[in-house]
Amino acid sequence: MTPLLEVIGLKKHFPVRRGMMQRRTGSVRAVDGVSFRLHRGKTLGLVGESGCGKTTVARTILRLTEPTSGRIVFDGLDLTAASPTELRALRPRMQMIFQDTHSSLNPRLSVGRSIAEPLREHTSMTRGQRQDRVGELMSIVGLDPKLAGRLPHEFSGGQRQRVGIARALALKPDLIICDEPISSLDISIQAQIVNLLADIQEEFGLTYLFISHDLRMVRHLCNRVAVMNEGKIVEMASAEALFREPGHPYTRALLSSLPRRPGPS
Amino acid sequence: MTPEPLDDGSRDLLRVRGLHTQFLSDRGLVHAVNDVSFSVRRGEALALVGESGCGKTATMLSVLRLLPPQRTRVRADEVSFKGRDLLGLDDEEMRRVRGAEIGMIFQDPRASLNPVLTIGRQLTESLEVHLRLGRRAARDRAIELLESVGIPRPASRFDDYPHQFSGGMCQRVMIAIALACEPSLLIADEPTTALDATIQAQILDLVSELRATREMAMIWITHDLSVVASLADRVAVMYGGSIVETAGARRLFDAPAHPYTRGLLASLPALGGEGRGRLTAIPGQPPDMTRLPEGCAFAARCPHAFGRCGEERPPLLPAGKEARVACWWDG
Ligand SMILES: Nc1ncnc2c1ncn2[C@@H]1O[C@H](COP(=O)(O)OP(=O)(O)OP(=O)(O)O)[C@@H](O)[C@H]1O
Ligand SMILES: Nc1ncnc2c1ncn2[C@@H]1O[C@H](COP(=O)(O)OP(=O)(O)OP(=O)(O)O)[C@@H](O)[C@H]1O
Ligand code: SF4
Ligand SMILES: [Mg+2]
Ligand SMILES: [Mg+2]
Repeated sequence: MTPLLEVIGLKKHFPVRRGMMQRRTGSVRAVDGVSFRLHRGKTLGLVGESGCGKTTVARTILRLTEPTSGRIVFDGLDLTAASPTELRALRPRMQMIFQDTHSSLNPRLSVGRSIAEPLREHTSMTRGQRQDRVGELMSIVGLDPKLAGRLPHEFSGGQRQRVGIARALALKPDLIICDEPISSLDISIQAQIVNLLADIQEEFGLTYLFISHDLRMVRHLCNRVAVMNEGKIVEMASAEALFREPGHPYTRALLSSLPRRPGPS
Repeated sequence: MTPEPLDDGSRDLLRVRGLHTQFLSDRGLVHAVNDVSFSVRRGEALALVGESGCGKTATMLSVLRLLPPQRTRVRADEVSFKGRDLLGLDDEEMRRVRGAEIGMIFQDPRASLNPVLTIGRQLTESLEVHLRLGRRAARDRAIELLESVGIPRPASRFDDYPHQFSGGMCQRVMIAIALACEPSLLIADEPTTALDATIQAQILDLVSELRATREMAMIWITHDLSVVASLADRVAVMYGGSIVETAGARRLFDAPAHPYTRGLLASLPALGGEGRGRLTAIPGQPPDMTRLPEGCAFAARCPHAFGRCGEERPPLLPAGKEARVACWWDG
């Protein structure tokens, strides 16, 4: 079976420039030769220390950042060689939930319009249909549809994060890259969102790349997990095997530093 | 360790009484904070937990006087820090308190870092202004601080701009800036959401050390209950803009009293569990903060609600040693 997404030897090196003349003095090897395959309907977890390159992998897959080298094949089409028209046609099928709502939501657009934007751009829905869909999307992420007229800054941190999730779900994409999608939500709403992600996966065969430092959620949601360190994947295994017997010393370190679970025993 | 009494003879470093905060919105008044009272002693760590949108950030921003006055109404019977009335300070004095005596870590690190200043400059600026360090000394100290929050090779990243840092790296820069001036109170709003367990542990060690050596007090807003367990002396649980339970951390985890706190603890997934089952969420929606019910704000979702709950709001009353609960049910 051909994978929905295949990443081959992906590299992204950011130039480091210093001084008045902004001379190039070196580079940050944010992603340094990453390869993996992701099959339709599955969830791959991507974990690793802060700064190891996870967001950069995500952004290069969506071509929000130009890769230095490597290939990204989505549903048989090589994105690195695709024309702008081909890329545009694929856009609605690949969505991202951004780690950072501050830079991903337009501060001057009401959240309702932000969520409706992909619908306006990629569907022929009427205004009324879009409004209904926005209301529906807001409800499924646990936001009151009556708040659609508010600006992003009028929401709490966790509410903004859910606006980003609603927006990513709007077009019923095939692939969603979730970059710390639940990090600023309390556990009850985390549970609600994670259940929702699992439900729509079951219903529509959605595929996820799930970036998170929350190993409990990764364990819960993912079929396979890739562990990154300094721009490279150092271990990849089924979620079950990885948590049962982590192979790489780095993975062991990551797992052993997990804070203990509180709560009534 | 017994905290020394402060100027006014009490041991409270920060004391808040009867805080109310409302936002003006196109749908009417948002009652974000309703009659909130709490205090923090020198060296004490208070965790503030509660559902998304329940008023945690609004509470802290009100105390720090950081909400835009045009669209907000804040009133309180008392907001005092080291015995000084913060509501009575002029803007300049308040700025000095915020920079030098109270360190803040904001929920959205990228939004609170200045995009056009280098990381290094943002740190040295506050060191130069508040600690009166010279350029050289400020730079050395800044690099030390970046190292202490786990930024690898900090000297080589000193001249980077925020957009060149990862989400978790920006968060750690915020932490370094907040700690730079050796504050006596640290207010941290979801400070480790973007950090993996390894670095989170390092940050928690760092602040614990500052508590031990300098008696730094903290208010730690978080949804991460494992962080609460390893860090907090006391926990305040908020729901619908009010504190509904406050207790020592141990007691709260062993015997949560308020039905909302119980629901919160029950939604924790286990790491050793069977994996892909369903997680338990508290059923129902959070209350509409523009139209809070007359009775208990949790009533619509509470498994124990009965007649009185819908009619009368339960006050926060003592329930055992150093604990308070706002609930009519006595199960
Ligand atoms: N500027 C604003 N105008 C109108 N409503 C606001 C504004 N800021 C916050 N709110 C509302 O006030 C309530 C409390 O917000 P607050 O940011 O304090 O929540 P929070 O507890 O910090 O949540 P989170 O965990 O999601 O960050 C929310 O319902 C939010 O939608
Ligand atoms: N635009 C950029 N210019 C220069 N360096 C960058 C840029 N974007 C990212 N980097 C660097 O690349 C490395 C990887 O960053 P990335 O954001 O991918 O990390 P991450 O794994 O997502 O971390 P986190 O868990 O903290 O979000 C970091 O060292 C970061 O500073
Ligand atoms: S007061 Fe009533 S509704 Fe509110 S938490 Fe207690 S039992 Fe539930
Ligand atoms: Mg990231
Ligand atoms: Mg908040």
